[in-house]
Amino acid sequence: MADTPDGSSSESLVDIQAMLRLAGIEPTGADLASLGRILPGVRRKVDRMYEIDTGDEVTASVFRAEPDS
Amino acid sequence: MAESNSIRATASDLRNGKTTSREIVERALQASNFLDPILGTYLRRFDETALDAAERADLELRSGVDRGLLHGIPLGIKDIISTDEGPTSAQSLAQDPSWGDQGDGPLLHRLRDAGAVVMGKTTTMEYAIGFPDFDKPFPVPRNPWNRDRWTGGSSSGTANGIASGQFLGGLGTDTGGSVRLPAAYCGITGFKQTFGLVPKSGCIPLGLSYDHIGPMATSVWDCAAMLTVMAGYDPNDRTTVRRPPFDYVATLNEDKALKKAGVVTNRSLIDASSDQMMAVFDDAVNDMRAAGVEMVPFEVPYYEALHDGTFLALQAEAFAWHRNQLRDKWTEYGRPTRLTIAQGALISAGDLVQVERVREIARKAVLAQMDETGVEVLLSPTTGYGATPFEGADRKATSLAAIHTPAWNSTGFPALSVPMGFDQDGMPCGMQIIGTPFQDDVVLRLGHRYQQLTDWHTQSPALHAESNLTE
Repeated sequence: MADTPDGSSSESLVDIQAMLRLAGIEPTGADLASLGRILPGVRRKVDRMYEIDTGDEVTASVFRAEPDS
Repeated sequence: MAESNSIRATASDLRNGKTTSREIVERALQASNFLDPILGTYLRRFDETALDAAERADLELRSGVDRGLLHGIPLGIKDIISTDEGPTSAQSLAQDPSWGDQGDGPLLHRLRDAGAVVMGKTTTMEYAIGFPDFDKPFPVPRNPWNRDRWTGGSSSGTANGIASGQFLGGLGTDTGGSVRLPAAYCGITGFKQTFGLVPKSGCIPLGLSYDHIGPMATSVWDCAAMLTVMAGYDPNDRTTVRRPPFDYVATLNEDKALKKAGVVTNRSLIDASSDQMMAVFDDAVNDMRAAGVEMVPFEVPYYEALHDGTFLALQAEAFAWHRNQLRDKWTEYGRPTRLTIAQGALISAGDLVQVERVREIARKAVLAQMDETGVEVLLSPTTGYGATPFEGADRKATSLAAIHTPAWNSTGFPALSVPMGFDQDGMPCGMQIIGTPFQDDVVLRLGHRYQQLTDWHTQSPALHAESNLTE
């Protein structure tokens, strides 16, 4: 893994570019670098969510087929 | 702010002939001529329509038509909520001005039907998620207790306008704490009621399942008066629930003694709070204990997951709303805003589902533990530190860990912030009172009881309309 001068990995910058490109967003170099620094923290938080035993629990937001009135 | 500068006192003065709504609004506008330019309270003032509304309110009162406690009361509205008077900017260059053409949403209808006077649209952080931005052509809201410090966000102008006496109450929105945080930092009272109690239609969404529009004012009594008008089902907002009308003021003094409160002891909260803040909080807890409330330590299950989950999910939900606009107007967003919302693209659909499952597990676990221990409400500091300076702030004080509000957006529980003292720099500190779903009256009753025991909510900054206006 190659490191950039700001500490983010070049692979993560490529990943971020790819994810944002899917949405049609092409951030500039400085913005991309900032997102590269942020990404590891975001992924750590996401990974911690999977460490919790959620069993067969449903999502908090539950769809219900109801008439609106 | 003195008790006289409250909705409660003003409602009384309006009815006993001591003042008129027109006089109150004129004085408020005069105060804003001086205070708004130095505090950055308003994005738009509605002086003429406010004076017209005040005159109508006076005429009705004189002819025996009394619309209730908000009749003739001036309110500030956060500028992500649509009103009839003009566009909604969300304090962003990216916002389509035509969005606000929809005019009043259900809350504005309810407030106006109750006789409230809409004074203008107040400053926010960009789209209720950014940070103070000195590079954009918008006022930067400043704290009336110290103008070199920020108000907290994102309902910034509503908070500093109330704290400085420019209006008596107002609307904020709260997705991770944006009503309670500026309330705590500015020394006022702010309430995030149970999710689903108040409609959100007519408000630019941030985190669709985390957003709340909440009342802000000097006291719990005033917030209760606003909530009584605001609460109720709205067919345009499927998240609202059908519940019978409820008078939150009438129940403030009910003799239903709260027996037991849990003091939040989670390490992550205490470690992200200053010693000074915890000392102020301990004093507030002791005041409650002296009033006969049993205090027990309470470790909130899944607290850190609820805290982190709020940010992960609200970024994903925000990204859904902003995606196309971000694509087309990337550089028109402020840098902190676009970087925060873009993080939503880094969270997969599966990740969001897992956050939502954790949210449900955690909500049930907190409720079960409160039930098992007989705890009716939880108490914590609202923030770990007082309001920070714009420059040179302690990094710990500005970290997300130092705000103790987001977990309760995840659960949807009612959470109130009341002033509880001052830190070593003379900045206000807030105490958070958290209840169980739709027990909003229990939370408000305890907050009201605390404000009957203390006078923190009556303290005014030097920059206040009362001390900067000549009669």
